Amino acid sequence: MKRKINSIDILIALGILVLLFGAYKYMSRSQVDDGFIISSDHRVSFMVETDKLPLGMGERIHVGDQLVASGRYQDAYVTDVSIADSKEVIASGGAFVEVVNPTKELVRVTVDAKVNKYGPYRDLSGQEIKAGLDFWFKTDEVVTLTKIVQMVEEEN
Amino acid sequence: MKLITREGKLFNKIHIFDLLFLILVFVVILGAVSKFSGKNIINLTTNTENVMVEFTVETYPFHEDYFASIEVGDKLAEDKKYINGTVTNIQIIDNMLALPDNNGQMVTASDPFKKKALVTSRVEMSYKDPVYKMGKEEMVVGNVFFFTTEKVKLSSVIVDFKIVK
Repeated sequence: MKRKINSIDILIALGILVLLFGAYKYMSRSQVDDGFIISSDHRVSFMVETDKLPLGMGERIHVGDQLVASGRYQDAYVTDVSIADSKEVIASGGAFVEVVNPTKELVRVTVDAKVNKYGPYRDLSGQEIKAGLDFWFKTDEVVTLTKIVQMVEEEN
Repeated sequence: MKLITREGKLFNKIHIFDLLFLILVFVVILGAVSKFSGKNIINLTTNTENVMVEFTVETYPFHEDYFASIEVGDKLAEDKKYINGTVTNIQIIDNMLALPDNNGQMVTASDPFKKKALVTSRVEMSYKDPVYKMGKEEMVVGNVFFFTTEKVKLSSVIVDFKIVK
């Protein structure tokens, strides 16, 4: 008996071939080109700041403290802490005057951390690291919402 | 004629499972094209052209330290992708404030703590009448824009936009 090839079967076979070719191209694509670097061992140093901590709590942050995230210690350490007056501006007598808000203090912390890098994106335990973004700063003693001020140093 | 025959064929032409499989293959191919082309399917079937644009954003007010991580030549980015464009100029400007004083008079002067930055970039972006897009963001003066490079992601507003060629 002569076997008849169904045109639908040919279409299905072609579809499978296209999918296999697409999957092969995707799996074998180059991940490192044009300066696009993927790494899980990339070190950066960045500064965060907050004035949201209750007065005096900034003193609980020390150089050498290790950051905590997702219930475990991260390869991220505090390398610098500074506590300054929280200043505000008011208008008085037709001019601006700088005043100190005695209920707040400005805490700035520098962190050196191993981060995941994927091209222009880097994250520390799921938190994207870029100046201008919010960052949950947490050690085993203190947790507070901070803002990333700047990238201080980054390995090439 | 029966809609589905006893053998499971639709209009006695194609088996219902074959039809479902073909639809699945079609959807997977469309999904793959959409994801990896960085465009949506509509863009693939209509005229989209690339144009070189110079645009300027004015950031929200920040302490000046926040701008230390922006440099001329920095590549623009969006999420985990680089955008085909670079920063060409940065200018730090005053953040003007207006506050009432103790006499009830409005005092207008520059903020002593926070500044703004005017950042100009030259970028190749897509144009499909009448929309200019950089990555996923629509580029039009007045739009709120996340100015993003490898090192910063600052809230800003597009204040100038011109076609270079």
